[in-house]
Amino acid sequence: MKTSIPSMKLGLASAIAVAALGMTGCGGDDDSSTSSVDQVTDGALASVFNCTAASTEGARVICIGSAGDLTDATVSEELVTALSTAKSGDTIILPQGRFNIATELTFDGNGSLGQVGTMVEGLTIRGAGMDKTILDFDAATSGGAKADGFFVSNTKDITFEDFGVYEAPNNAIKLKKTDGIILRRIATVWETDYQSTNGAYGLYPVETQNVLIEDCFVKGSADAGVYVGQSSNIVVRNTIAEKNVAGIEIENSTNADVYGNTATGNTGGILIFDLPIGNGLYGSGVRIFNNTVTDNNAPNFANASDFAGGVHIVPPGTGVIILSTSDVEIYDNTITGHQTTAVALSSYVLADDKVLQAPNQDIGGADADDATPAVMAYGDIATYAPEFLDGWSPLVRSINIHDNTIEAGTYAPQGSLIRDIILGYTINGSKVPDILYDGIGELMAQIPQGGSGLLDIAGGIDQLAQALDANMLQSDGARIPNLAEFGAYGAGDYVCASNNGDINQASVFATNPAQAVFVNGEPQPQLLQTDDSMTCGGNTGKTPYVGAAATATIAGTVYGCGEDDTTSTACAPE
Amino acid sequence: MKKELILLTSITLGLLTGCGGSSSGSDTPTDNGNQGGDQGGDQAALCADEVRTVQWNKLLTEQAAKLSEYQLFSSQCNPTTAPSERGIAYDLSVPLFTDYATKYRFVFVPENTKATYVSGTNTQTESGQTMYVDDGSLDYPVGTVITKTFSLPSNTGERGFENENMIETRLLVRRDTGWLALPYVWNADKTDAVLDFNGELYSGTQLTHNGTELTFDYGVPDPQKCQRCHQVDGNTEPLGPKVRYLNMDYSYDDGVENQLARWISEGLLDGTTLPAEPESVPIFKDSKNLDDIQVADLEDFAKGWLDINCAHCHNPAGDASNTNMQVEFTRSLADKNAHGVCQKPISFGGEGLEFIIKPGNAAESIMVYRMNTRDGGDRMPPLGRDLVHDEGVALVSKWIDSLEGNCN
Repeated sequence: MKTSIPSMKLGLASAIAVAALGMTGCGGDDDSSTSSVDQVTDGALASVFNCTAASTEGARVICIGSAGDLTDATVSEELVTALSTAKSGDTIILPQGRFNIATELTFDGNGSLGQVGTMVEGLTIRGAGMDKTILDFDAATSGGAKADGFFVSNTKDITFEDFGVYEAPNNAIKLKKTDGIILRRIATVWETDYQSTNGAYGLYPVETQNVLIEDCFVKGSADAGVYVGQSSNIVVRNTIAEKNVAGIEIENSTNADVYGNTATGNTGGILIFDLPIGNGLYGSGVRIFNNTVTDNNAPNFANASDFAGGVHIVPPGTGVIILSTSDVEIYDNTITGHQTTAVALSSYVLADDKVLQAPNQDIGGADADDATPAVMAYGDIATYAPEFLDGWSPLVRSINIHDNTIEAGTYAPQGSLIRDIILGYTINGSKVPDILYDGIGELMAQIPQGGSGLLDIAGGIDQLAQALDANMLQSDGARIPNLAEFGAYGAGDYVCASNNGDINQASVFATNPAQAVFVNGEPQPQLLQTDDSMTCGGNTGKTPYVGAAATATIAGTVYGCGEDDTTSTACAPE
Repeated sequence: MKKELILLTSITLGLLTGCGGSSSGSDTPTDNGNQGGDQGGDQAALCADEVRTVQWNKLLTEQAAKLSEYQLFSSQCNPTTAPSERGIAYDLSVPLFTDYATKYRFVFVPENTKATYVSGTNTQTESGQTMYVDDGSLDYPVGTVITKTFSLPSNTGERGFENENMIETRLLVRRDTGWLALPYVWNADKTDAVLDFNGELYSGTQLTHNGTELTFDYGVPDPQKCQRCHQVDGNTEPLGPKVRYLNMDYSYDDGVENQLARWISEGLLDGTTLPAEPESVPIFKDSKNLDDIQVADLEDFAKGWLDINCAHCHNPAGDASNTNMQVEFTRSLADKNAHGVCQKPISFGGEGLEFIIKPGNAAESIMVYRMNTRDGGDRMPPLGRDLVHDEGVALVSKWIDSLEGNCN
């Protein structure tokens, strides 16, 4: 796995230079020394101990290793012990050098033997620079199981900065159920390009709140380099994501700003997904601005999965993908060099058309027809009935794509998810549009009630859930929280795209039922290269969505555009 | 149960603590780890039996460097028998599988205090998730200590202290701030166990099971990893000693008796807090013949196995809360298909398998695949086992094969 070190170093060095550039643009604490790779010679990184321990309660400094002992075994063991005995306010200092870590580094705020009875908060883990302190987890296990580099849970206000996590078998840094996370100048790297056995996620906060990811470098993950899932209050900025399947992914999360990042060489650059997970956490409210999203044309090297929303579906050559997430604003980005499409917007229908499945009404086998399976539980009503009842909707609403610089790459569309669409355009003698919208979800929501539209399907599921409860077959009283989510689009609900340069934008299906063509009740794709489906304003009756700034509050400090960042291009007051 | 309760009032604690050594049986000592090959005089002195007193205050205030400091057992070299006063051995109707290790479980409850029964409720978290408050958990009083010693037999057909290599003793201590997990690893002489901050991985461990020699990596978790399994919404909690697993007979030295009844008569459990008919999970041990389980009962057996082996993570307040599989015993199989029937997992890819549980087809169910593999990336549970639990796989497979229906 380490055969490609030289080229990696080049990549990392240039990446860091760009990251540092982004950082200065952001103003503030730009006093790090990460922009130099001088110490890297002959592929080896000198081990240097430079740390003064402190024992003041609440501000302890724990040095890993010593000037005389920086062996892998010592560094590994001392790190585990430091985490097992951590106290609130500890700063754990990692030495410079590349160290093989033998085990997953697990930290749970309620699991430290150093501070029993109260959650450990305010932990900082700091290295000498993301190119100077490298923790290599290639041989690590978690009690024999596939290890994360770091697994953190149940803590508050934790900071990782200035080191690299390399070759983690599973995820590089996973954080769960934590409020207050700073990941700053952290590299997560799998050195071999485009390898499905690389780990899954680089930076991976899930079920967390108040997350700041800045000036990081994520490369080579077989899933997403940055993946923020099922979380809220998120700022991802000035980070470089390259050669991952997904560069940066915000999934099932709310209130997120993604700005000033560079996504290049991935299969897909920036992904905003809202997936039917079934645990009540769904996403909306994301702004993507001032990012550079270029040449994301890598093959999709993710492990195949049968889950319809997995990243294995990402069509290679896609800049930005919005999947079944509402309230998203995409502006002032440079999105260039993509071989399939610059921006893809889609309801979940494209991933799995079973969201349109007509509900099975045979409650408890009442119709005495053995050929129809009896409905005994929500899951028997329709494939996605449990998720509809859980608050998930397959649609995209309130999307605004404006003022981006979009230029297509060499046209070479691919991707199994949209194979039929590509084929359709080709047969039509045209190309996949630069902004591609599925339109089928919107069309199904616009079909007047009393037909076969999505609102009728959802309404049927809701009634059947009620009937299940009444029949004592399922008695938790679940109902679809907001049926209007499945109905006709209001003025502010539409997908709008404007002022993105001389490009093509179109919807695969006509979004207006009056214009759509149906054959045997099935809508037919129109496959136009340009149309007005995403034209808003004026007398269209469509009002473009304007998102609100996202902020993350960590240890009392508010981070975000217009908060700690008032100087970068994206955030300076006008 | 009532009848037994009356009988038990005459049994004293003295009888309980006076049982030292008797469970060791009369098996011929073999080349075993637990008594070493070279027991010198010093070691024999260290390991001598004597009546000891649990160091309750130390348990509440210190993380002792050595297990012996807490004086939980008559012999500091044998935490599998003869607990000090207020300690009692117990068993679970379905154990968590840990590489065929023998587990010796004890609970110690301070004098004049009792565990109470907590009935389960569902509450909503801030995010709107249904919060998991387990049915049938016991609220143990401050000072309670739960010990579990893991000991590996060289042959699972010949278990017993003399035939085994004792690896670790894990403590859960109930302090006023909550539960604390303390992992102790046995020294080479087996004279004491040492608090372990780093975890251990014993590669190349061997044992024979049903005539097959197995080689595996036995992992001892570091203190932080205890939390991966032992958490309910972030708080450390015991997993096994709940009413539904305790509600069964146990062979005490003075006879067979229901564990709850014994705990009540010993003053460890407040019987007035128990429901009239305490819940239970059907007993499933490796020796169970699947042919003896009625098809109608398979679901309860399988759900019991999944509960103790998976649900500590796979519940809305556990480590796997961000997955779409939740398998608590108390959760109806019908509840949003959370056990996985016809559910596609959100993150598992591979093997060409589509559903967590495919009714009628265990071989094509991801649940069985992941239970039945030793691959570090695919295996479930990820922690606490390297070997496959053949008996558990057979049980869950038989249940899935018995399910009817097609996934649409």
